[in-house]
Amino acid sequence: MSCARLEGITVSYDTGPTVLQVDHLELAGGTITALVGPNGSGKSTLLQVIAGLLPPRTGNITFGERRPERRVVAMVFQSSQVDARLPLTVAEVVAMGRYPHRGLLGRFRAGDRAAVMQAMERVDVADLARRQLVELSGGQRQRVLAARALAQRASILLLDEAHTGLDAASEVLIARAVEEERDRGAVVVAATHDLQTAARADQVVLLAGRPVACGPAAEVLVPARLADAYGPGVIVPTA
Amino acid sequence: MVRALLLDPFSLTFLQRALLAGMLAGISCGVVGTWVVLRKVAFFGEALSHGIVPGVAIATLVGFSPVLGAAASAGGMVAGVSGASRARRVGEETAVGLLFVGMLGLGILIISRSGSFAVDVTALLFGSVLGVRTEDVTVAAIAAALTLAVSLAGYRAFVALTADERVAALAGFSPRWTRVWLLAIVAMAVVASFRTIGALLVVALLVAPAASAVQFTRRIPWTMAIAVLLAWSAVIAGLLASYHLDLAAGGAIAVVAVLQFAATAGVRSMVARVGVHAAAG
Repeated sequence: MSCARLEGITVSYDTGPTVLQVDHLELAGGTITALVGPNGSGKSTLLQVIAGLLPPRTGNITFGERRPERRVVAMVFQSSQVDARLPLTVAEVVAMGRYPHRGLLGRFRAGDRAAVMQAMERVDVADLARRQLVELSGGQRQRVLAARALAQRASILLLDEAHTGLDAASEVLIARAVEEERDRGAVVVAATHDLQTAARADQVVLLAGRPVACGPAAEVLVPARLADAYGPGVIVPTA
Repeated sequence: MVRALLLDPFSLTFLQRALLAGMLAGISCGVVGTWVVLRKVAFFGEALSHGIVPGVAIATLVGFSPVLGAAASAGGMVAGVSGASRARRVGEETAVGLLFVGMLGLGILIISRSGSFAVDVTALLFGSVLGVRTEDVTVAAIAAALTLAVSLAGYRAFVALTADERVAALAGFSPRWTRVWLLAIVAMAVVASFRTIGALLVVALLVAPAASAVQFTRRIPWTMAIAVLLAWSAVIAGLLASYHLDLAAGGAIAVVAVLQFAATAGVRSMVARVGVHAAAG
């Protein structure tokens, strides 16, 4: 299984100060890594760097021995950041997950259509295929965005607060699909504010502008470590 | 009676040319306007349409093709608007706003210093049915073909960009270049339309039909098709109103297009209210 490696990464916006520094971080295939930390700690920034959406000022990312190609990275964004009023059906939104494989003009093949259908079935939105996002609940919309990423069948799956504000059914469906991605060998990285969700991950990276702790949840999600990121005196519920 | 009202005007050659140019402009504006409305960048469309004024003014003064002058000016505006997206400190809209009033001001300066009536300002700003030449119809046809071709070829990139720029980037479609292509086809639609409807009013044909269509459609290709049909009906009704009531054709087309939007928005609102009452009942 391939592994994503980040070496000597620093990120800043324009000429501003460094907002994220990662000297060395390894994200193994077949594992789920949770990124936790307070607002502004660099969780989303780190995901964007891994996705190639934000070029680091220094350092490099490799997947296997090379820079990750576009098509190997899929990302689930928060549904609240997507304009649900667009005249697009659920099936069309999920089909965007195949764009990295087919490009601008490549014809969709049977395999692409199967990947789209399977992705919708995995998060239980297949029966909503002809509906529009605006007609769906928040949880259903989030599942559609998850399906788009699943349809890509990427080697690296990134989730940016994809569990936030979900109903229990949607959370279970997305969590199960994410675990299946992990089981087929994908590198899964999820940014979350929810420490209970983070506790289910194989590895947790605690961020405060840089990784202040990295390891199994039992070692990282402890009061002494959490205080390094969230500050002293802050009670962080973990149960 | 009906024949005299609807058909007879179009037996005149100059109205036939205006109709043909308007219908071709309707194709460009309906297709491109759909992206403009969905991307919520109507202001950029307005900026591009106003930005062609100096190019047209200079071209007319030196005896060059106004359409090519408009195209050159629009090219400059596309480059300027693309560059404005990097103006983070003042914001993209502020930068584009300054660019478009700057270009419009420059155009007015050139016209005011021309010392002659070489540039028909009214026709430039508000369109002129009499001013549509065969060359304009050819340009409108080329623009319609190009905007359709680019919209089809770039469909996935435009959809991804419209949904979320990050999705476009992850799919391998450069958001920056996709935006430039989008601006380029907006510019084409503007250049193809300004002779009939005028530089100041072309944004009505660009935005109103698509804004009307999007209220009732569930898929983007349908939005485009209905926007084109609405643009055609606005052109026909506008030209007829212009002929029978001696009105400026550009203004009449723009008013009809905006009235179509008001009507569809009203119907959409009523349908939504009836739906809410039915659900509550």
